[in-house]
Amino acid sequence: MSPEQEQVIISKIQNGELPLFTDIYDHYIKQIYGFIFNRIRHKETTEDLTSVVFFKALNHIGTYKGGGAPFAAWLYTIARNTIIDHYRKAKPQDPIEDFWDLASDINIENDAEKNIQLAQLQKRMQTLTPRQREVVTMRVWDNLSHKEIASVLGISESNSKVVFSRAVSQLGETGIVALILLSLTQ
Amino acid sequence: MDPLNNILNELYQLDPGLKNHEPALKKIIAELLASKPHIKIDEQFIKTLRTKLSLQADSLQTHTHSNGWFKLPYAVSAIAVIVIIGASTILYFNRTIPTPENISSNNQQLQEKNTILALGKNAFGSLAEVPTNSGRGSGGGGGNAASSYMAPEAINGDISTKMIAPDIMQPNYRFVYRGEPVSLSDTEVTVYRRVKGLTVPQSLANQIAKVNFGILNSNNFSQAKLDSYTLNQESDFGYSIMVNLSEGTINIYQNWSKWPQPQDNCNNEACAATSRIQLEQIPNDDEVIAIAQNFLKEKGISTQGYGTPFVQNDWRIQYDQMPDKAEAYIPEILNVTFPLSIGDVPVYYEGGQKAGLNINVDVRNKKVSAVMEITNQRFESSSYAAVTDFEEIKRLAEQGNFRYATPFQQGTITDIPLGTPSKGLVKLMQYTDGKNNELFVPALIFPVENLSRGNPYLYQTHVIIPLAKELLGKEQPPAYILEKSAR
Repeated sequence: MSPEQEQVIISKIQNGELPLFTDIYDHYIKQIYGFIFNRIRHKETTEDLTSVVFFKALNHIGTYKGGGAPFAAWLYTIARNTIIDHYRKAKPQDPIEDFWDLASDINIENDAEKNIQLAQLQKRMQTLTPRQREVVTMRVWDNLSHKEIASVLGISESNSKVVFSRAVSQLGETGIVALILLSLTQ
Repeated sequence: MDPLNNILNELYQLDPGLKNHEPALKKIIAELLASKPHIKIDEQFIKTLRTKLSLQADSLQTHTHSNGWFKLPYAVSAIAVIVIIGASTILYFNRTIPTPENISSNNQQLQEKNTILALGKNAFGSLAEVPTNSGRGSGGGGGNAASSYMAPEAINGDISTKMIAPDIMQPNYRFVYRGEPVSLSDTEVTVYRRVKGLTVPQSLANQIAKVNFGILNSNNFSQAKLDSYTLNQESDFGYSIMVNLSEGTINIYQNWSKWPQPQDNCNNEACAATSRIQLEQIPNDDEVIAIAQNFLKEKGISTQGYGTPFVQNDWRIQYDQMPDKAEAYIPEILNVTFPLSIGDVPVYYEGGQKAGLNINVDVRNKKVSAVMEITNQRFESSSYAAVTDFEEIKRLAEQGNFRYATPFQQGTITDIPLGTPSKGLVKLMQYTDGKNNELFVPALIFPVENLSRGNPYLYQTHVIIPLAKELLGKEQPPAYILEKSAR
């Protein structure tokens, strides 16, 4: 579905053709599910929260204003806020930034070598700020554009690019250091 | 471009100096991409959520009043609109060819293959509230459909044994099971119920509900809503399209006034005989199916979810049995069925024929004359207790149906073999809480064998026995006129 087709459908939905919402659903279900799963890592909870996101979107689609902000960003914002609400209910005392980390069960691969690499990556990600981790995750795993990331996080597009660039550079530097150390020990 | 190079190019646009660290950047971005969790989403979850959202959208639609001005996509000046609340609306459209952009929500629903929403056990209430047979072919399509012998007093113990005999003495057929033993191990079966309803844009429905005819002002009827409407084509060989929004069905029939009716010009039998269809005028099945398929394609009627079409040729059984072919029935209308399956299980009418999308083809004019049962394929499902005693099923199959045993008339009885059954779904109507529901109940489908072996008036192709426990064991006597039954 092209952005233009999407806007036509959204306009029709907002003008009363609500059953067309399933077109939007078909287009975004896998992306939103993936966005939530990347942060929750629990199938049943992901399904519950995904359902909540789409029902919220359907019930409030009249509030989507368009005018430059992509619809995807609006939907991802609902998803992000739903995840935040979920964590606040589950662990109200913990800082919300802690939830934007890679999940601790990242070592789900059967490949032992890959598990080691992932563990090292997770260590390096801990050197980033929560905002950096969030931008990196949204850009690389969720494949959102910087325009969409900016809209979801309430920052500017250029800010999103800068945050990402610094994060990757920082990971790259520590990676280079790790590589050097690794080569010295072999 | 692949994701890795995409990200790299973004970074270089921001800071060209990063190119000097390309190997490290490539490595870290590749690691990040590789660390992405493998996500496996349950397809059933996707379908179930879609159905729930669709139902919610429909529900919101009926309570939503659009503030926007609805722009009819067709030339409004050419339209004469007549509205009868709850009955029919006749609209004449100056149509454009449908494009993907203006596919309506109705067509979206009609184009879906089965979507099934699972509900809790016994969610449809009692299945036994099934007052009438459903749909076409019920009762076997003619003849004294085979039945087990019942002594008249067994029908109703205190009723006189005298019966008013039917006008036509027809042969007695007795079904006898000759198939393999069947084991029924499932203690529950999944029953389906079609989710009804089609929608039009709420703003259009609102406009129609507010028309003032002068002699009647629709505005005086609060909360009235559009329930059904009819479109009539005022051209030669035009059609009437009847849309029932609450039932969620669309039927297309000939606009009779626009089709030639040669027998209308006859006032005697000799004249009528000259216009009777002859056997050589009947097209072969491929040609009939092609007429049906071309019509559906031209009108944009989806056959998604339906199986390979076939022509209902039951009339040929009777034709072959008639000694005097001049007196044999040759149809002017042939039926093409696109069979329906739910979850890959075929659906049958109670009388034994396959259910689905039905298209009538006018033999004389080689045109489609009707398309019936255009519906959505949205269903709810619920578990019900199942019959596990095959002997009971077999008894009912040899009775010819699960509702009643027909007593034999005087004369010889011919045994008709039933073959090993297959599994299917039988379409039944349930009337409850003032509503007619379409239920699809798992059943065993027994094929009737030796149909064409000189057995006149035997047209039943299958005997269908449902497997839901509460539907069985409630046989009622048929509606014969009995002397004392007038009491």
